[in-house]
Amino acid sequence: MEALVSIVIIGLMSTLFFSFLSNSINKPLLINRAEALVLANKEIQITLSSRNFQDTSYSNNKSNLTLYKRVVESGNLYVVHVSVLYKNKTELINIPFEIKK
Amino acid sequence: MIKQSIILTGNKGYALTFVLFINILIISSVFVLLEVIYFYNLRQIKALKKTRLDMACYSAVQISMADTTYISKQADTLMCDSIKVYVYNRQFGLLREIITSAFNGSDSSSYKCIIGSKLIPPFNNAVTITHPNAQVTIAGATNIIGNMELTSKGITKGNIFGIRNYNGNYIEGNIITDENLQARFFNDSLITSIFNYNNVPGADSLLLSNTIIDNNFISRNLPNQNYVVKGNLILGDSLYSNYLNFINFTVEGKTTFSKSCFTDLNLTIKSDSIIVIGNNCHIENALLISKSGIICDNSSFKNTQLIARDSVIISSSFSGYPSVIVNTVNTSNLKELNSHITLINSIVNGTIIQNNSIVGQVNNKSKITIDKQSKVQGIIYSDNNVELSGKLYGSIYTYNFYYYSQPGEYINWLVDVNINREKLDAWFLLPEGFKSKNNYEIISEKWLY
Repeated sequence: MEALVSIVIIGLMSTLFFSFLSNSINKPLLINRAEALVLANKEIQITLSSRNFQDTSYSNNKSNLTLYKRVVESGNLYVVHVSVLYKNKTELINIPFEIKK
Repeated sequence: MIKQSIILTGNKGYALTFVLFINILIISSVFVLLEVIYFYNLRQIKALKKTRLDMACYSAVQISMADTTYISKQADTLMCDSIKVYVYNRQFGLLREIITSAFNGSDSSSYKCIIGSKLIPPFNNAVTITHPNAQVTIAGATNIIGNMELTSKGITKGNIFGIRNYNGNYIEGNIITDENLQARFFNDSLITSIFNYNNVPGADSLLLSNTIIDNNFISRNLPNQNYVVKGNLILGDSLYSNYLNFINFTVEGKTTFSKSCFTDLNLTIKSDSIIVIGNNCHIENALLISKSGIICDNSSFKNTQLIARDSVIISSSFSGYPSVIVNTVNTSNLKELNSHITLINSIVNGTIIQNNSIVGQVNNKSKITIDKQSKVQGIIYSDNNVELSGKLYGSIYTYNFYYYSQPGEYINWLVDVNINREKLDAWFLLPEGFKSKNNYEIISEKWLY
């Protein structure tokens, strides 16, 4: 009887543990946010230093993250939106900022 | 396998204890993993929030520069990326300083920058001479790369005894004639307001007698403080700032930066008397105003403005961009008619301005003198005379060129003048005060936190 209870408890705990682990790994926001932020920061720095106001998009080495830069003119300003999408579906980051023309 | 089976099925009742122990291990490892992921995520969320705050602060500066109505207000708030950004701006001598701050819970960001105005015509010329019907004469090894703008067409070639003859090819650029060139291109109301101070302590200032400022003084006294010094002021030691604080002195007596003094305090000194900057000093982020004169020897400056009524004499020194050196002359005061800015064996990256209350007064001998060993990268502006012997990488806008050779003076003779407009940095920005619409850009920036 003791052995049976033990096996059930072990089974339950293992299931919980592995479901939690796979859940965490499958959540793009949890795992990829750091890389997305690095990509976004790099693009912001490039935009500010080179004053490049062309729309652009590119992917990381693993091709799971895609960075989009969209530039809209608004009066005397360029409004720049830098966003990073996971597998072109889930938006992980969206940072808007303005630069004087 | 046999051993495990014995434990699980043993008669002594170890099986459940063993399973509970395994459970605790699994639960602990789950918690550890959970915490690692939680803190990792928390860090990333904070980093993202910080980036958003930083960009909101940056955007607020850009919005302020794009719409100058914000510049006219000392304090304002702007919404950038749904974040409330506090914008403070102040006139700091002839430069303008903007500080933006944004908060989001425990996260915060603050950004400080100095802004200047993009170069506008006539500073796209190498030389602009505004004296009406100026008869310009070229002599010696004059070499001008860039355009010349004059009020009359006639340029003659001349010889002065002892100066080698004009070599025939003095300009790589066009000569433009405009009879209606403005003699004054600088709005002196800004300068006048800079000198409107008195040494009476107000409610927000502390009174001091003769004072020595050293690190003890800085650590003893509150930051962001105004002081009125009824006596002499001496700055010694190395005075470091955390870039958050400012310290202002209004001084009745003489101000001295003692030998090897280093300061990057956000320092403003308004002195009734002379300011002397001694040997081997390094001064950053300072505004030094004297109703008398400023004398600097063998020192270096960065982002420092020297503004004086009587004279500014700089010898064997280096001024990093953006330096502003100003001499303002009230021509109704006879004493000021010999005011001058003199550069001896020095390098200036910035703007040199001599402003006169009335232009074209014959008895006015005030002038800017750049000696042969000196170099200027930037703009030289004078409402009266400029005696240019050293190299200028930039643009000069003057009422007259001045040259002296025994036995007399030569007005609007360009003798051995060496100006290269093309070598001026494309991102060179002007201080405020010129009669044009300001098109602001950032001169220097600093993230405070």
